[in-house]
Order: sequence, then structure tokens, then C-alpha cells
Amino acid sequence: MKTRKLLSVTTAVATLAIAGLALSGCSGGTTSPSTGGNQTDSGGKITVWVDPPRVPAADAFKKAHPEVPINIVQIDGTVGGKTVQQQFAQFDAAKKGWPDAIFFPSNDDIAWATSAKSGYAADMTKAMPDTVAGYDPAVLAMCNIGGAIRCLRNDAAPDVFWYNAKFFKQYGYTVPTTWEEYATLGAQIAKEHPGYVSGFTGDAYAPDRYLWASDCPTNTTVTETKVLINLNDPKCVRAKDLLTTLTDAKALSTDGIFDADAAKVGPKMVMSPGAVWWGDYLFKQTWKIAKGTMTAVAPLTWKGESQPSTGDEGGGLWGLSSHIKGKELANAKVFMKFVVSDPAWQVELSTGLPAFKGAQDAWIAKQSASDYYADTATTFASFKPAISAVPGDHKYQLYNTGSVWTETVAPALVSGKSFGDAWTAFGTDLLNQAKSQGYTVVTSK
Amino acid sequence: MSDRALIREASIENQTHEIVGGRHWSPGRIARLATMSLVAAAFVFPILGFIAVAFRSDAGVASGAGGFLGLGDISISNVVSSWGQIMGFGGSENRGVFLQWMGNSLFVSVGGALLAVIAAIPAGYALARLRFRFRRSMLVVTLLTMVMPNTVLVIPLFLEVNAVGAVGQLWPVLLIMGFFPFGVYLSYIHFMTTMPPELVEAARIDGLGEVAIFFQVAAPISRQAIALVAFFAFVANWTNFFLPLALLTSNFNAKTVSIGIQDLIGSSPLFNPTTAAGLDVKLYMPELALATFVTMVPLLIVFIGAQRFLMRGQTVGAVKG
Amino acid sequence: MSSGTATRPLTARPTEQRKRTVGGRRRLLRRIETRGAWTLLAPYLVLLLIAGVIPICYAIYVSLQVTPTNLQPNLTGFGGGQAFVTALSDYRFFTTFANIFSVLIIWLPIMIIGIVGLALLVHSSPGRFGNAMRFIYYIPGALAGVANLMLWVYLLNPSQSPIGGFWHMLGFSTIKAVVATPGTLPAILTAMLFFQGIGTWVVIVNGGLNGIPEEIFEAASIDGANAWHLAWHIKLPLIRPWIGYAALMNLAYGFQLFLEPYLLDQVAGGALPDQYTPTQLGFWFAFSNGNFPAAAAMSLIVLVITLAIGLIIVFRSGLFGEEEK
Repeated sequence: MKTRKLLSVTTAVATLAIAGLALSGCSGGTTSPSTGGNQTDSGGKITVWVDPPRVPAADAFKKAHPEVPINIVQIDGTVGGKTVQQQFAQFDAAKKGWPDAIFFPSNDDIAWATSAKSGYAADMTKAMPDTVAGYDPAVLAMCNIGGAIRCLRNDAAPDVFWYNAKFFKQYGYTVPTTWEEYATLGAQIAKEHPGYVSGFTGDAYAPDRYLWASDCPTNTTVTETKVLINLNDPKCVRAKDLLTTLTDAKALSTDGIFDADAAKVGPKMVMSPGAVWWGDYLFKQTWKIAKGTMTAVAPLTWKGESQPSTGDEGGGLWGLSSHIKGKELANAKVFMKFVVSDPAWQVELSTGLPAFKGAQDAWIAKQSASDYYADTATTFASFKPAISAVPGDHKYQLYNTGSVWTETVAPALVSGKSFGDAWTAFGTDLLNQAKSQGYTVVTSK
Repeated sequence: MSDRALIREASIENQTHEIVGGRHWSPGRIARLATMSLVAAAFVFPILGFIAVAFRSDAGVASGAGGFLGLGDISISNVVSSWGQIMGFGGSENRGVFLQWMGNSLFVSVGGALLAVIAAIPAGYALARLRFRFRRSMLVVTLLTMVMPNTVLVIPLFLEVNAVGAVGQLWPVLLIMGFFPFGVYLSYIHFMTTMPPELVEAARIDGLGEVAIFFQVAAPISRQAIALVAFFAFVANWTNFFLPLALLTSNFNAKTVSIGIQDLIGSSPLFNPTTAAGLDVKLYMPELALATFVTMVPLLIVFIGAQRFLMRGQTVGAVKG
Repeated sequence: MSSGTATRPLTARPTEQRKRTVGGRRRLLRRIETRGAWTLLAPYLVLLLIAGVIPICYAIYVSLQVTPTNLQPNLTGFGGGQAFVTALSDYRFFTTFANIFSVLIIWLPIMIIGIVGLALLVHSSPGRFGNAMRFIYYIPGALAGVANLMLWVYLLNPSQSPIGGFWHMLGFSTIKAVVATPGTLPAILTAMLFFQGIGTWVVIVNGGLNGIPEEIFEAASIDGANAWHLAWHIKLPLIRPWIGYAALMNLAYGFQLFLEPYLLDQVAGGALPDQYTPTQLGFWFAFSNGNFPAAAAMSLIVLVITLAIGLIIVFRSGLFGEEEK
């Protein structure tokens, strides 16, 4: 009885289709760009979103400003996580629900938060010019989107050059000053002291540590819809060569710095470029390396260049909503000013070097007190100048270079593939990601 | 299957005993019992070990203390301290948000199951015992929606709910969960097998209307179907992840516990070491296991409660959506 | 599949045994019956519209639009098949399906063998022991979703797992290494899905076995068949429709994988591909790319595939075979 079956299917499908047509007629509007013209005012109460490590900042604000009614929401703090972006996509679609201020869990989040479609992050140059003026412009380079400052940095996170002073002294090695010397020495140490490592390649900050430091164009904005990616650029090739040398010599750990295993390998790290927060957070708190072991000097210089060049790992971003006005906006600004500059958070509680100039010296003074490093004075002296050694045209994009790295290079190296193979996979995926986001990719400006 | 089949089935239970099983310990019998017990052990031990984690301490789990499955490490004080951490989650403003998530889950799961029963029982009866045009088409649509995985429709559902501006609210989730074609099918099979058409005919002759026949004749004999529809709907709703993820993530306080657990994972230094700094709530494996275990409790309760309905009616063992 | 209707006509037409009455009265009764049927169906129909028909049709409508994306904020209006082109030409599109197949190719055979094996074992063990076993096999099924995931996080973490020795033997010391080492994910997903899915199917296929008339087994026993022959030559062919049904349902289920790879990625510190399955890709279109039309198109593509599988189940498995006259 095939025909009867066929008939019943046809009827079923037709029923669905007719009902659907009738209904789709009345369901009209899809999303349209949020213009920012419909700002609202709650009358004063503000809602702020913070990732778990920033909860103390919000709590400190609440204590210092009891007059501001505040709702603190703790969000998924996974670096490279998609939850927050998903929530914002829903707010954008519903045209309501945004928090008044947010700590972005990943720095890359600033890309969608400033996209023309979302337009969430307010122009801080207009909203809080005095606070913006309190920053070294180099620190805010990543917030500078199309000439407007769209976010405020919580902490500055330039890479300095860390090394194990005890190890260097014991075996009589000379601390490198160029990236090339670093590669040669790393290979040499790996040969002479197997098991000791000169860096990590498994985390999402690794491309920042090496490629950004080399000014390799992976994240260069040309126009809003056009990016420059060229892994064949000489500046990329020199970073690739460096990593190839170190990887071939087994001088690098394939773990990421945050991996549970890294705590075992960490104490065997003899040297590495690394963010200023590595000292307190990684060496002291997480890896529990003994006092007087690690120390930092100024970042490395590439051969043939006169100035050091270094990457930047994280250093969180605060965003202010562009959808509010009146008393709500005023209170949100008070909050923003507090979390980026008030010593109650930035000096007393924050583990990173404050990005806000006015808070830096007090933080350094407080951190120096414990005299944890082999050469505490040199270490802290290297921090502030490193900020200006970070190439400034590296911008966060809608594609996430760090995730592409952890999904291609990290597993390839773990499974024993050559760095060349890993590099090819990284390049392919990076281009694919950029294109799938809708970017036009060019190889030169 | 008719009721004759059900009776026949009961007799199989008695007879195959002698035919197949045998009472003596033949090598085949030993091998069979051993295989089945081994598989059962492979199913039970991971679950036991996991539940044990909920009763252990952070340090104990990290160091592997407690011997076999860590059972030596369990204590009530561990549970108390882990529970304190879970309740502390949510920051100063939303302390105890976990309980709220449990409540949300209960609300949508129970409400959705109730709605499923209200819709499925009369619909299944109508499909089984009434004649009308498009009956077959309705049946085909029901079977199709039943066998299709439910996450397929989530993004379209999000678009729909978004169009009416109800993203982040619980009621659309409840409403959508009320659509449970498998329940309609269960109810359909139930009336097919337990309610002879003559009963309907007789009621008509007595002058009852069609709707009245359902309420006075069919509904009173549908306990088994109601229990099963409610059970399967509740389990499906409680474990649903993708629908709440798409519809509720934007509202911290309106999450169901299935997606709330994701928040706990995201804040655990175990998987996200950056959160270890400065965080006053420390969620390690015992806390995560305890939270998961708490979410399992309602399922275990309805599971044990529905056990006799589940195993009695082989008819409905026939299909699960 | 002739055995389908023979073993189990699940669907029968309502009785035709009514006495013929005068034409007019009969039409009236028919009308009353039809009205009653639709009244009783009404709540279900409303829900079917809300949760089935409208979203599908709306998705079709949305998939034919263009909406602003992050980079192109000014797009609106009718887009023709643009969204489908975007979805199909995405560099991950075929990879996600290849991933699904790499899981299915391991998982389906194991699942089917497991289901049939356990169901036959349970059926050969009537009485208390068999029932207890069936109950135990069903337990993991009741802990589906996030609970099952957390359980596996416990099992997959070499430092706390009861099978930690096994992971160390394979050279894995962190959960990230276990999950993110290329090639392990399909096996892990297989294990997770098997653990969570097998019990329900054992109950179902066991139900099918219980529906077979005992005369068949009796006759075979008299002919000298032992338990093994009985299972292999008699029971197995008879439960073929259920095996086919299980295979197709699990196949359809495979296409909507989401939770496991999505959360495993979070557990593995982001080392897994973010868009491993088609559903994840659709999710990415919707919430990361802001491209709702492409997300709708992606959903519709998966919908059509599972719908095709569904049609085969409904009309070809023999389990829902209509009793034709």
C-alpha cells in the first residue's frame, strides 16, 4: 500500500508547510543593528559582570561606595570561552539585558564588543577622558579601535625576560639579550641539562609570547573588515626559526603554563620570556618556586634591531556599556574609575602590575617588600619600561589567535610532530577562522 | 500488542525458566552469569566511585587517599564543607544561586512533564480510538518528531522565542518541554492495547459525548500511561542541556541546574587555573561531584518510583524517544 | 522486513466492525467523532505548533534572510540561498560531518553488538537475577547529560580516576592530554555515549524479545537447540527490526551531538576544536558569528538529514508498520 503511505506523508508535509506559511507571514522582524540611540537609565542601580578573580574588585567597590546600589554577577571566566559572547548575542537580539560594566574574560572579547553590530563598549575617550589620560597610551593600544579608546585595562602585562638566577650562576651561563642568543642558549642548556626547559608552547598566550613579540602580522587591522595576516613575513619567519630551533632541541615544554602538569615542569624552567604577572602568580603562588630563585630583566632584542621587542599576555580589559545614560551611567563610571585606579583594589588586592599609571609605583613598592626575587630591584625596574616595547598594531580580532594556537600547534607538538607541520596547520586554520568571520585577508598593507 | 500478548508475556517469564536457563551449573550458565555480573560491575563501580568523590575531601581526591574508589576517605564533614563552597558560589549578591537553579530545574521539568501528560493522554487516546481525517498524518508527524533528536530544533526554537522577546525567561522552556511526542506515542500504544474499541462503542450507545467518553471511560484506566509519560518527560526535561543553554544562559538567576553546572566547571581552578587567584570559593572535584550528585537525586527518586511501571509494561519498553 | 508486521503490529486501524446505519445518521456520528478527536488533540496540537511547526517554518524564513553580522552591520532583507551557501562553504562544514562519522563508525557497531548481546543475555536469564541486571544496566541511562559528563570527567582524569593506571600506561598524565591527543576523542565519545545509552536499548530490545511467542523456543528446544543456537538462529533473526530501529535511532542521535564535545573542550582548557560537530557549528553561527540565517540554514540541513533517517525508521523499520488491509 505504498500509495497510501505516500499520501499520508504528503498530507503531513503539506499541513506543516501551510501552517508554516501562514505563521511566517506574521512573524516579521529579525535583528537589526543596535544603534545605541535607545539608552536607558535605571535611576542609579548598576549591574556589573566580573569573572571569578575580579569578584574581590567588585566587592571592594561595594565596600568603598555603599551609596551606589550594585548587582555583582559572577560570570564564566574561561579564557577563550564563548559563554559571554553568546549572552551578548542574545542581549543584542533582544535589545536589552546588557550589564553596565564588564570585565571581559578574554581580551579577544573586545573585538565583538566593539563591532558595528554590537557596539556595546562605550567610547571611553568621550565618556571618561580624565581616566584615559591617566594611562600610558602604549598600554591602551589594544583598546584603541578606529582612533577611539573603547576599553580600560585592568593591568599591564608586557613580557619581560625571566630566568633562574641560581641556575645561571651555578653553571656559569650568560643571560641572553637577543632572541637569537636565547634560542642558541636554550638549545645548549637542553643538551647539557636534559629535562630543563626554556619556555612553554601549550597555552593560548604562547603566540603572544613569541609571534607578537616578533611583530609578526597575525592580528593587524587594515580596515574594520580587512585584516593583515602574513606568516611568510620576515618577522614571522624569524619567530618560526626561533621556535623551530628550540623545539628541535627539545628546549620547550609542550605544556601550557596553566596546565596542572606545568607545576611539575615549572621549577625546571631556566629562562623564558613571560608576562610581569608570571612572577607573583605563576612562580610564587602556583609553582611555589623558592624565594631568591627567579628574576627578570628587560625584554630581548631581535638581531639587527636597536630596541627590545616583546609580547603581551592578557592584562584584562574593562568595558562600559554604551546603552545607558543618566544616573546609571554616572554610577557605572564611578565603578570603572574605581576598578582601574583605586589602590584599594589595584594595589592591595590585584596580582598584576596596574595599567593605570597612578597606581603603578604603590603596587611596585608593595610587591617589592617581600623581596621574593633573586634581584628584586632589577626585576621591578624592568616592568614599566617593557610596556613600550610591545608592538602596538597588534589588535584583538573576532578570530581568536590563541585558540587557533591551542587547537593546532599545541596538540601537534604534544603528539611529536615537527614545528614546521604545526606552523602550517596554524597558518591554515588562522586564515580559515579569519575568513569565516567575514574578514578580507590581505598579506600586505 | 493486545492484552492477550501481555498475558502471554507473563507466561514466558515462567516457562523459559525451565527451557533455557536450567537449574544446573553448566559452563554456559556460569559464563553467562559471569559476563552479566562483570558488565554490571563496570556500570556500577564508576558511579559509586563518582558519588564517593562527593563525600571526599579536596586533598584526599588530589592525593588519591582512601584506597579502593576512595571509600576510606569519605566523611560527612567533607560534604558539609563542600556544600558550603557550592552555596557560596555566585558572589556576594547571588549566594546560594545553586538552590535557585535546582528550583528552576524543578519548575520547568515538573511543569513540562505535567503539560506533556495533559497533552499526550487525550491525544494518544484520540489517535488510538477515534476515526477522523488526517489521523494517519497526525500519527506520522508524531512518530517523526519522536524519532528525531530534539536538539535539532533548538536554534529554530531560539529564533522563535527571541522573536517574541522571551529569551532568558523560564516559561518558554516549560512550554517547549511540554511538547513530548514520545508521550503521545506511549499513550497511543496504551489505549491500543488496554482499551477495547467495544468499550468506546458501548459508551456511545449510552449517549456519552466523545470528550465525555475520554474523561469517564478512558482517563480512569490510564494510570500506567500517565506514570510513564510523566517519568520519561521528567527525565528528558531534567537532563536537557541544549535548550536551556540556548534560551537561559543570558539570565544568571534563571538558569537550570544542567547549565548551572557548566558555570561551576568554568569557575573551577581544576580546569581553569586562572580563576584560582583571588577567588574565595574553591570548586574542586568533590564540590563538582557533590553538585552533580545533588542534581542526580531527583532523577533517582523518580526512577525508583517509576520502576514498577517501567518494568511491568513491556509494551512501552518497545520504544524510547 | 516481513517479520515486522508479523511480530508486532503496533498500529491498528480503529475498528471497522460497526454496523452500517442510515447514511445521514452515520455522517452525523462521524462529524461528532471528528470534532471530539480534534478537541482531544487540541492541547497537543497547540504544543506541536509552538515547539515544532512554527520554529521550523520560522527557521526556513530566517534562513532566506540576511542579517547584520559583526563585520557587516548594514545587511538586511531577502538573501535567497545565501545563508545555505555560507553554511555549506564554511571550511568546517564537511569536517564536522567527518567528525560525526568518525564517532559513528566506532560507536554504532559497538553499541549494536552491546545492545544485542546484553539483551540476549538478559532474556536468557529470567527471574530475579535477569531483572536486577536489566535494572542496573538502565541506571546510567537515567544519569544522562551533564551528570554523565561529570562522571566521565572523573573517569578521564588520570590523577583521580579509578582507571588512572590505564591512562598512565597510555602515557597520559592530564585530562587535557587524554581528551586532546589527536584520535582519542571519537573513542572517548563512544565510551560516554555507550555508557549512557545502552541500558535504555537493552530494555527496549528485551521488550521485543519478550514479545516473541514461546512456542517458537519450545519447538526449537525439542529439536535439540541449545541456548547458544536458540539465541543465534532463532532470537537474533526475530529481533532484526529492533536492531535496525536501534541502529537508525542512534545514527540520528549521532548527528545532534553537542553537549559532550562542547563541555569536554572546556574541561580540556580549549584544546579541542570549538566546532567539532554540526550542531556546534550551528551554535557558532548563531552566537559567535551573529549570523542567524546561517545558523538556521545549518539547523535545517541537520533537520533534513535526521528527518530522512526518521522517515526510514517510521516506514521501513517494520516496527511502526501499519496493519494494512
